[in-house]
Amino acid sequence: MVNEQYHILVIDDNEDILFMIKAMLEMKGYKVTPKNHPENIELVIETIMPDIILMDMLLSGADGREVCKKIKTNAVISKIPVIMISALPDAGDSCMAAGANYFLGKPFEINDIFKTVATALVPVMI
Amino acid sequence: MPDLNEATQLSLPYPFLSAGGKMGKLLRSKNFSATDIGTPDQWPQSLRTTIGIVLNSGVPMMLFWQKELFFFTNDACSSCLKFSNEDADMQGLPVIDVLTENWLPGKSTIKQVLATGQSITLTNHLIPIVQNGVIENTYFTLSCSAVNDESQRPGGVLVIFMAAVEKAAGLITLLPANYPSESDIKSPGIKLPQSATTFPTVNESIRSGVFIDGLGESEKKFRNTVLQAPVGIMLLRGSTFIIETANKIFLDVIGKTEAAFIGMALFDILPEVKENVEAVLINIFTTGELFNATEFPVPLKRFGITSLCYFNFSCQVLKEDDGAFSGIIVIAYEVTDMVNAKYSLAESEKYFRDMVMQSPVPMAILRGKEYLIEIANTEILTSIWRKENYEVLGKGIFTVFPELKEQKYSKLLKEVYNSGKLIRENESVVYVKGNDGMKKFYIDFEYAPLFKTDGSVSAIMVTANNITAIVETRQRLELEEKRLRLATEGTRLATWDLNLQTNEIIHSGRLAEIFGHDAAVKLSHVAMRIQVHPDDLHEVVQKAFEEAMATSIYNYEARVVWHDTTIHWIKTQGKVLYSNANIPLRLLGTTVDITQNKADEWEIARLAAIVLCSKDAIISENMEGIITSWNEAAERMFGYGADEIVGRSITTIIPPDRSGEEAEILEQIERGLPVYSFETRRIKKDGSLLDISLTISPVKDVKGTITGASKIARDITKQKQIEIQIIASEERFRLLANSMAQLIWTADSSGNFNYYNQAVYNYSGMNFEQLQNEGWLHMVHPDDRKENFSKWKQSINTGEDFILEHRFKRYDGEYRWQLSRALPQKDSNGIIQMWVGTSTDIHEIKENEELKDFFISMASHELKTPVTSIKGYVQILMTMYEDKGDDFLYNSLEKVNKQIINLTTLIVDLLDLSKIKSGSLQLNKEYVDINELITEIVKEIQHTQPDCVIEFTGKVNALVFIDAGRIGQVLINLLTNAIKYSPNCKQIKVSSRITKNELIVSVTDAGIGISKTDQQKIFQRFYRVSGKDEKTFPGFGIGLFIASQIIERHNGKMGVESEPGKGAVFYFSLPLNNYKNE
Repeated sequence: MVNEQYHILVIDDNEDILFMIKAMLEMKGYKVTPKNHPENIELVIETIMPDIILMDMLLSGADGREVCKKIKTNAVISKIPVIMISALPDAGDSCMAAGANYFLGKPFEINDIFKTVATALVPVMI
Repeated sequence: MPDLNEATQLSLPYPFLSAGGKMGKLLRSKNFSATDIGTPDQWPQSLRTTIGIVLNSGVPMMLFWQKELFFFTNDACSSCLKFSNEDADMQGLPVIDVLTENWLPGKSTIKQVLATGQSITLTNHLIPIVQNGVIENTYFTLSCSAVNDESQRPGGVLVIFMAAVEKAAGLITLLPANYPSESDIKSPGIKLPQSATTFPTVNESIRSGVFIDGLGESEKKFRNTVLQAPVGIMLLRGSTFIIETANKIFLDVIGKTEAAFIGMALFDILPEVKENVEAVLINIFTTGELFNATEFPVPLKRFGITSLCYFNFSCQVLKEDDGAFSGIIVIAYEVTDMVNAKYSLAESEKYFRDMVMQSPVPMAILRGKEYLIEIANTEILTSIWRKENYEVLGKGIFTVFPELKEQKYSKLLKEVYNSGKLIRENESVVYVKGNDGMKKFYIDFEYAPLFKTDGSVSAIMVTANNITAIVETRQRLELEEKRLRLATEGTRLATWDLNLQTNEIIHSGRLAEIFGHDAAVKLSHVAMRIQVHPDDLHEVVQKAFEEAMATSIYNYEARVVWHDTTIHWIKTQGKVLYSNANIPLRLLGTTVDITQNKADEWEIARLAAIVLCSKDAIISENMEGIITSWNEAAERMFGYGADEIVGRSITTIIPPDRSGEEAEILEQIERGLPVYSFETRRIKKDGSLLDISLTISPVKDVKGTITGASKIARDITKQKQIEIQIIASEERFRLLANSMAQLIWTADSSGNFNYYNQAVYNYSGMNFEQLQNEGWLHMVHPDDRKENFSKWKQSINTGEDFILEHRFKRYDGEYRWQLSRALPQKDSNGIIQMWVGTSTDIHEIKENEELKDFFISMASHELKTPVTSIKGYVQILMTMYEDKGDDFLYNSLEKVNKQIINLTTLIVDLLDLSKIKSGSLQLNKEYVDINELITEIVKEIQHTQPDCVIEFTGKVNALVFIDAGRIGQVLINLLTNAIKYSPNCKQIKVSSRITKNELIVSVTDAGIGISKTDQQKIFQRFYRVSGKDEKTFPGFGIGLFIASQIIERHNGKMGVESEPGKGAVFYFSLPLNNYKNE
């Protein structure tokens, strides 16, 4: 599959959802690294250098927006597109404010996640 | 040379003494201080003037003054009469004792002139003059005339010596030596003394008649004598007055030659004298009477010139021997020069000064720039200046009367002096300070300039006619007249005279006025009767008239109607006059307008009626507290009749415990102060007490003295009862209010708080004063104050109910939510009297609600996570088994997915609800093609509900500024409702249209419909249509609430039209210019 060359880091504290998203993305052939906590995430990202980071906003003790800010202020990894997802009603604006490139509200249609990932990959592919 | 120093000394203040040569010098050398006439400054003006003239004159003159005959003469006289030094020394001295009958005109002549004021002329009087030791007889004609003194009585005699002629010795020898002579021409009865020489004068001798008689004997001799006579003599013959003879003097006088004159008829040769002389001559010729005349004017043509000449005449008839008249002898002595001299003197300053002095009008002459008082007559001195002559003469007018300087007169004098123009003014006011003080005068004055020969003003003649008495009298008269007029006008009495035979009436102008006409209008008796008020004509006026005929007294009061329809009351009184036969002839009377009197009468009557009919007791009492009047209401109120209480003390009705009141009331009344609405109690006759309100006013008599008090008492028992009821009611209200846990407060119509119940004090921990002092404002949470204030203000302004949820700070500092409501209390006219407000503690409710909203928000979030997971796996499974041929599995997964969508919608709605509640529903507006939006939504719904038929009609192309997601949500809600409530799911129509400035989108179904009652509620939160069928439909009842809230946030409207069983039309509108407000 063409998509195998693209590596997506998924971070969600809910393991069900983490593996659901992993399953969905792998159905499309993407290489997925799942993480259920944001510890040492910058080191992880610097190590694996994913093409896209997909991250939940509330991470059981950590705020995804803060994680996003760190990623975006780290020059090594700041260029990597970040897609944030949340079940909170007005989280979209604050996620974008934190530096996220895309936002998806929960619950989402499977196609929504495919479209968003594909869109986020466009600059990477170029 | 006169002694200059001496002359200067005496003459300087007296210009009249300054001249006069030797005699003047002699006069100045005299000391008059010891004499009876006193020093020159005390001399009367006429004396001064006359002396001035005497001294300055070239004509020989003498003046004898007063009865002492002070003697003044001049150089001309001295030289002419050859005065000895002794004679000259007489100058200025009284000569009454020295003067003899032989000297000059003679003492008797002078005394006579002085006594009678009549002038005497002595013609050709022989005066012996001693010259060089030899006596020469000289003839003079003397004019002795009186000079008046200040009192207009002869004060002295001026003697003028005229025209000495040659000695007439020849003529004199004709006369018998012992012949008596008369020298007084005008008063023949008075004998003049013989002159010292014993010769009679020629004239005297001729006039005696005896002399003429003597001529008849020797006519020839006489004619010679005539020709030689020193006087003009002419003989006329016959009744045609043929000139028989005229001597040379006569011919010289008339300017004719003997040849041309003698033998002619007198009036042929001298026609110019005919007018004056003919009658005289005819009279003499007819009667034979002697004719004498002095200064007889005769116009004479001499040397070609006709001029008026004056002669002293003596004419006598010539008798024949038989005694018949044959002619007239005319003896004439021309005195033209003397008369002219006299007249020219009259025109002289002397005459002018005399005029000033003798004027009965106050006059004075002010000389030069300094306005030195040169002459002031007695009139001005006594009546205006009130000063003595010596106090003013020679002094400046403003030195004597400094007060004049401040009045207009100084300016006016200056004006006359500078301009030379006369100034005259009438009734001018002047204040003059005389010796008896300052006095005010009204004067008609004249300032007339006197000119020098060069035309400049030398002096000003002041004439000041004192008209003070006249003006004051006139002013008094005017005042009297005004008073009289006012008095007449005051009574405004009309008078009239009715002729009972002819019915003609004569009346004063006032009567016409009383009938409403101009005073000039003449009214007939009938016209006046027509104006009498119909009700009074027969009953009053006619009756009064009949009675007048019977009793002669006419008297009535009646109304008259003016043309302007106003009614006026008149009072008429009259009396009938009868003839001798007792027939009534005239009715005389007066009429007066008594409208005002009537009005006053009615006013009194009305006041009496008010007192009588008043529901309030009206009582009057004197200053001793004795009741003097008692009206019917007082009878009803207190139970006493007027007959039993009047005359008793007011204390009769005062309860013993209030006995002090009356003294206090009377004390205040005594000071003239009224007492208003004094609430007290009085005892009725039956002993019961009565609550009354008293208003007491002082009663004054005509002089203004307070004589008593008038009391108005109002029964306020009922009022008192109501007051008690009100107090009790209010007490109950307060008890009730205080027993309530709710905060209760009231405010006046302007919104100012005026009452709080106990709960407010308890809650706030503040007292009334603290709350009033803006305490209530500080009670309100700072975040709520602005809204609180504006809403309260709005309610006060509009009268709308006040409803607000806000937080009040409790005594312990905790803010608690309160629901406050205030309703206006209106009177019967709808005017707001007060606001009554309550505040209910809704803090717990509010907290619970917030908790619920938080719960919903949290729940929806927490629900989403599992839903996301389920949905995700279902979709993964669906993707995995889409093409595996296991239809049941796939369909089952599809159903799960569909229910998950429903569940998601539910969660989203709940979330929206909480957003709406918290006010955090955000709109992301952009321009949207409504057509596209509707089409997309319809397509989406159609996709999930493939069995339904949704028709989209009436598409419009319009860009609207909206949140597309939210408006789409509204459409989805309406469409899903339409589907839900339409059992057969058919005939669902969507349409859009544009009105003036709105886009309207409607969704129509043919479902079960909604009742009118439910229509009003379906947009409320959690409302679901009740009824057994409706309950079978699923839903929270929040969809339409959310939809309507979204539309409201777009400034649009949402509504429904429906009837049960006939489907429903839901619609919403969106403003087309919405963006303009964003």
